[in-house]
Amino acid sequence: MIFLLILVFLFIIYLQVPPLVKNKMWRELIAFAVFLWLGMVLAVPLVLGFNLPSPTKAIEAIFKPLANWLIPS
Amino acid sequence: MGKILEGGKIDARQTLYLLVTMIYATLILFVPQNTVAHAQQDAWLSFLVAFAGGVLISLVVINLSLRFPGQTLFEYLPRILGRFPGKIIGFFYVWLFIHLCALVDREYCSTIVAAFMPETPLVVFLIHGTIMFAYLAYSGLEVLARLSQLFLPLNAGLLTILFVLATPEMKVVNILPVFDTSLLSLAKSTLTPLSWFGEIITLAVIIPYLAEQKNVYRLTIKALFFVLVLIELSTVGVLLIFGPALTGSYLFPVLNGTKMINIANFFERLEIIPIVIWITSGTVKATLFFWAATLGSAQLLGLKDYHPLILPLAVIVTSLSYLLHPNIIDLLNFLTEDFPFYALTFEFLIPFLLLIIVLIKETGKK
Repeated sequence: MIFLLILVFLFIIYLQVPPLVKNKMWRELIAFAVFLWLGMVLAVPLVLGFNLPSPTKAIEAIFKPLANWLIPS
Repeated sequence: MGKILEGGKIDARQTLYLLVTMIYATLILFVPQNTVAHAQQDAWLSFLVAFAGGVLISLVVINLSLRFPGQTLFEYLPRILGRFPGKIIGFFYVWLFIHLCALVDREYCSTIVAAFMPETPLVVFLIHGTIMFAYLAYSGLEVLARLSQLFLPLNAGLLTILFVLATPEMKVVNILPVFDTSLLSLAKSTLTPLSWFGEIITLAVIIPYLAEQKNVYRLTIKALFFVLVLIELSTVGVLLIFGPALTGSYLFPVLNGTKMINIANFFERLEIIPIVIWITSGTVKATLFFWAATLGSAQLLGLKDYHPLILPLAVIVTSLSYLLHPNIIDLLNFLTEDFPFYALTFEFLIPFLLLIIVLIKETGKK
């Protein structure tokens, strides 16, 4: 599985990076790299089977008092 | 800044179709159950109230956007709040759109898994969905608008036909007595549909790409009204078939309502039709949010092109939609309990505060 994922990432880099380098769009390249890194941070642990904390939990913690009011009785 | 990243222009009719598709897609999937659970047989009333609230939200959003002609939400946020705070709030909106996209993706894939293909892993559907809307976002807004123009008449027609075919199963006694709900339950039942109507905030990103901006108010209210008609059609239909107690306990009432259709032992097992409706409109909906997120991050970072960001963001969205909820019940609880407050913060509170700031500082065009 992990090799498939790495292949996918390599494919994405192969598709996107050469045109960016050719057109000298460095700002775009940095943004692309940062977002791809974020995607890797999210995807690789999922494939390896680690339990990442879900962002939902944070949102639920913020809105908990209001949300409890909305639970159907 | 100021440079237009997206070259497409969409006309009035396409905008109407796009907005209708954007809202009704998941509205008829997840909302009827919760609204009925709160408001019982008066659920149709809470959609009317939610519609009124949606109109209010759209007035705020459009009024705000028309003060900055030719600019999207992400471009005028720094102009209102100053460079740094504006970008921070802008990134919160990028997060909102990414989250909405991941949620929509997850809703559809979970539905297929829960209702039709329980043996297939969820991630298979997620990857298919992501490839589809990454490709669509690559094609741009114009293609997306045409796609909704293609699907919406078909879907609205199919919904109406389903309603007509189900009439033999309906009993009027199921929605009686009328006006039996307390005001508090009505308020509670209104919040979830209202947060869906509030997705009209995406208009703040689309407005610069409309071919003519004179009739935006009328157009948006018309779109919201069409959504109201579609959701009333499906909810009232399901209520008439099952009555409030049963509708409130089904996971997908519209799907179960369709399963009841049996005409002369020949027209039956029509539940593929709601799935067709949900998948086609859900693709448009997810792509629209995805497109808004990529365009927004490109504009906030001052890039010349948003296309390089599509594939990395697609990876993020896929992982997120897998990560967000362990199962469909958790997803449903989140959508009906936390999501209304979370979404309305972005959909109503922040635009409303922005409008007040604009009125005080008198920036932008009058």
